[in-house]
Amino acid sequence: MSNLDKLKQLLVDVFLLAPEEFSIELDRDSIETWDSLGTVSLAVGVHDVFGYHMRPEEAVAVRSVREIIDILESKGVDFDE
Amino acid sequence: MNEPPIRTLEEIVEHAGSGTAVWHSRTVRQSVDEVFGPTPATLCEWPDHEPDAGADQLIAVGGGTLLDHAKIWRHEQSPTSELVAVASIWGSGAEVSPIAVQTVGRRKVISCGAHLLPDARAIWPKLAQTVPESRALDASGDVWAHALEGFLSPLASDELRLEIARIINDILKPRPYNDPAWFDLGARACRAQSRSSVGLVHGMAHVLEPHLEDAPDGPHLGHAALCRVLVWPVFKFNLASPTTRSKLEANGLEPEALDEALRSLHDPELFDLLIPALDATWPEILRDRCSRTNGVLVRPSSLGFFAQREFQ
Repeated sequence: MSNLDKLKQLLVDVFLLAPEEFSIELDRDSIETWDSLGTVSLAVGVHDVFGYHMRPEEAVAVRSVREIIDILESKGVDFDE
Repeated sequence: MNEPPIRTLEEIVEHAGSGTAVWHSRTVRQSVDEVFGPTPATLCEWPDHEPDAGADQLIAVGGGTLLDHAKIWRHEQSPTSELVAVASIWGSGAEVSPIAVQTVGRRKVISCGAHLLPDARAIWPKLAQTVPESRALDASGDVWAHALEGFLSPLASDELRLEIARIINDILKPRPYNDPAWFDLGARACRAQSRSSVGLVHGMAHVLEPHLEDAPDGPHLGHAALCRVLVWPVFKFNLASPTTRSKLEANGLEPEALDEALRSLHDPELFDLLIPALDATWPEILRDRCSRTNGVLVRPSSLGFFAQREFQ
């Protein structure tokens, strides 16, 4: 499974999306369940799946799927597989 | 928010005057009559009676439901009364918590604020002897759930984890099911957990309890009984993540010792009866705010771990 597929599955599970709802263009405003608790779940899931522990201020600041990818890429996770 | 100071039973009895109302549950009527009967205090039994508003002091003696009710009643009906909370059973931590849970229809309504914190609490050791074994073990399951979920919470700081690890090691020490030490362990676990969050045990319990009430044939279990039957499976679910094991070991906790202690509380036949309810309510459990602050991510596919009894 590619890292993008892993991220897609993670976000579908964290935000309880239908798989077809997922898009790299999704942002916090377009996902009803991306609230403060969703932010906590996201940080837990990113750690579980990618082994990266998001700092609280980082998790709170992130506003889109693309920004999650940017953060993970900066930590060496490759999304160009 | 400061923890309510502890008073001894002797202190509150000595100061119980004509302006004192003792609001107690039915289960502790005999003990309350014996101890407060000779004082000038007014005794009233919940839920059939309520104290007069404006009492100088309200001493609430009962389980979490009564204590939470008394906290809200004091705030709304008699805000000048001093409230002393005396737990008759451990687990909820209502006597040290600024949170009050009320059941309104099928819903649990949670209120929180400094105005709901009791002014003091007292431990009444003899009440532990009045608790039936099964109820005591259920309550211990609630204590375990508070401690473990507070420890594993993603909102817990390193300092808090160390503090809760000490509480967990104290809970692990062998003791009789009705040891009065459970009162303090329960209060410590609740206070510590209130600085992080609870997790999947509470997420499941909050959803299952009203669901089971409505089920004609299902087991009707209260919050503590659900915590008792769920805490070991959820611990095993969390332990499947390497993160959990490393958090435990980094704080001097032995996963195998916890496994053994929690397994001893578990009732596999009762858990089997819960599986259809878990299956029916899983989407709701996933959306519960407690599930969403579990130490390990709970996914739609996680149901299989419980439904297939992968923890056994």
